[in-house]
Amino acid sequence: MKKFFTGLILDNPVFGLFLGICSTLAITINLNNALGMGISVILILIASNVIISAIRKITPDEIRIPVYIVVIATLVKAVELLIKAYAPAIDVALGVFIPLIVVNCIILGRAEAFASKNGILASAWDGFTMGLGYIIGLVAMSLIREILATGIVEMVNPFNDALIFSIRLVPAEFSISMFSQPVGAFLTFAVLAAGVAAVRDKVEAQTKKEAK
Amino acid sequence: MKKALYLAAFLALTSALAGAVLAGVNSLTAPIINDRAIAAVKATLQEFFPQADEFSELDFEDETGLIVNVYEAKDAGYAYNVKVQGYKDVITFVVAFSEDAKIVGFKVTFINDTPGIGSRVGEDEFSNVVVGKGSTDAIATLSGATVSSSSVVKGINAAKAHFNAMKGIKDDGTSVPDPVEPVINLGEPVVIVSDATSTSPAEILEKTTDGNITTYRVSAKGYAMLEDDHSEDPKPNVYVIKIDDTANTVVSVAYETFSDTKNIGDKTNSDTFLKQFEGLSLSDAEASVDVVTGATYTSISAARALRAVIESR
Amino acid sequence: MDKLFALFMTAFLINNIILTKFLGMCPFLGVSRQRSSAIGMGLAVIFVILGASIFTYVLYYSVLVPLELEYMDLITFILVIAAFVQFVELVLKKYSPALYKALGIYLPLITTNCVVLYVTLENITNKFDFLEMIVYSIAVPAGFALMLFIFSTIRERLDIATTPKPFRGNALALVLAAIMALAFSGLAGLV
Repeated sequence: MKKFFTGLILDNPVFGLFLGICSTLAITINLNNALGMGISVILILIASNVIISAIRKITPDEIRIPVYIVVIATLVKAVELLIKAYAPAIDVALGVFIPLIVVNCIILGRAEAFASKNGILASAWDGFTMGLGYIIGLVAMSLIREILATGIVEMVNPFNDALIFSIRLVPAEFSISMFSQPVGAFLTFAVLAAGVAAVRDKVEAQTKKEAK
Repeated sequence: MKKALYLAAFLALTSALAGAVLAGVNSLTAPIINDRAIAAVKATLQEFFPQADEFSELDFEDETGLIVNVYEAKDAGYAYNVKVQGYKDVITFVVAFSEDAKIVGFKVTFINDTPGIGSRVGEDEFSNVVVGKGSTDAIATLSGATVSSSSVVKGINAAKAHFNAMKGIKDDGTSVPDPVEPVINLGEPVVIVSDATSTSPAEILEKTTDGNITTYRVSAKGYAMLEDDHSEDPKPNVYVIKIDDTANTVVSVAYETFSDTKNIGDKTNSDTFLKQFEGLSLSDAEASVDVVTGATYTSISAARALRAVIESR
Repeated sequence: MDKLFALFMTAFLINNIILTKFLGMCPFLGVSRQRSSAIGMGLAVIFVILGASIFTYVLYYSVLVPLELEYMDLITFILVIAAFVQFVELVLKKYSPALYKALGIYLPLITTNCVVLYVTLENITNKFDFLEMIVYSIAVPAGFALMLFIFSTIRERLDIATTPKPFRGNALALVLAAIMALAFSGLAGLV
């Protein structure tokens, strides 16, 4: 269990391994966006891992990358069309970053590093854990940015635009709108990345001590 | 050779399968997506042209590249779906012209600029300026939201140009935009005869009586003289106050000379503020007016002027 | 002409792809450490994006649209990009092995560089005509290359300076990006 958690934080795809940064910086303006993107990515990640694992034995090695790309691109496009039809609010919020999930390094990275070499169930689980790390990273960033920039945390149901909840955590006078802009995005990310690096150093020092 | 053929075939097969899957998803979602797109605009079009029942989309040529769609509302007018680059992100809006070349509708459909600043373009403050203008009238930008509003104005001008060209109206470009009226909010009340007005008493310069109306010219120190350290040659505000002697009430308070800060203190030189004085009874000890928020000192200087008049009688 | 100039400046500087759109960060953090690799990468990206844009643009309007296969855009575009990058890799290997070696793993990584796919998709979404597409496809990667170069010069200095340990490397680069983003945001409204 401890390994699961350390994996989630230390090898966090976003703040530990610096994968999938572009979308993290761009869309983490509020909780809704983070969840919309996170859930889309985890679903695509699990599906692509499963499919690629399933065809791994019949895929010729020389063209495996283009084949993976076709699989991922198909999944992404399908998700994009479904979102445009059934949850257009997310389409408006995430915009071009939905099709850009295709080049999200996490998905192709896991396909190449894990799904192409392991069984279907294991690949599905890998997709789930990596995706979870991604969602946690996104949610962390967006909560920090949303609270600092607007003082409110709110969630809107994307399928019918109904408000689920809206809580004001910080009075409006203290909101720092810089955090909803690129500056704030970079800074928040930098601090979180440094935090993960600090935790990692500590853990490494600990294991070194224990090894003695 | 055989290997290469096999590889190519495999890739082609995969792509074909992918295509089939997507074709399926597409056929499911495309009609829904289409409906949503039209529905969004149709609602807006109906809002602008309540009498029209037939809408159609027109082909158009636009050099500016800002116009996205042109719609015709049969026998009522035309609407333009425009997309411009705002401060942070794009801004999309619909602007509608009636057959007699007046702007009958303006609605921002997407804006992602800084809340409270660029986002004002999407609010009544701006649409009240746009709606009602003719197709050859210029439109002013919002001060404090220059980037967002000038982009939107550019977009509106593109729509105007197309509409005028279509209708054969000549726009000689001589129209000067009306400056946008700043929003004037009233705040806390200040009682005319109270501690707030007891310092720096105003000075009555002149008093004339005509029938039962007495007119006073009063000089009162305002923000420039009392608070502003940076003012080089601060001058007082001069008010013209008319009193109805029989009713012992204020007829009017007006500025003869305004010497305080432009765009801030001069908000008090507005009907919103000055009309409050009308009808005030000089014998009412509780008589008060609400100050203009952001222009408290200047508002109080007007109150001081009236107090000087009251105390002189 | 004015419009093209405005398009160029907006895509190059004002809406700089790194500082405002956050695209291209992965290779950015990896390659911007040294001036030499930054210049090489920057030029390679401009070339790849221009080439890929032209191919995908032509493909879209002469094949996908007439056949009503617009929904295949994502798959076809990314395959074209992958193929084009492979092609560039082969050419570099043959004619400039030094540059090929310098770029190392980052060359194939251009394929997954968000910027390439982004530009090819935007060419379609923004309904550019051919000339506008060319201008845009040069301006955006030029902006990327510019930032890459500026960052590499600063990071070369940062690497030998004393900095808090957790921040060293990527986190510090991001703080740098924050400051640059703030500085460049003053350009909004230039055109």
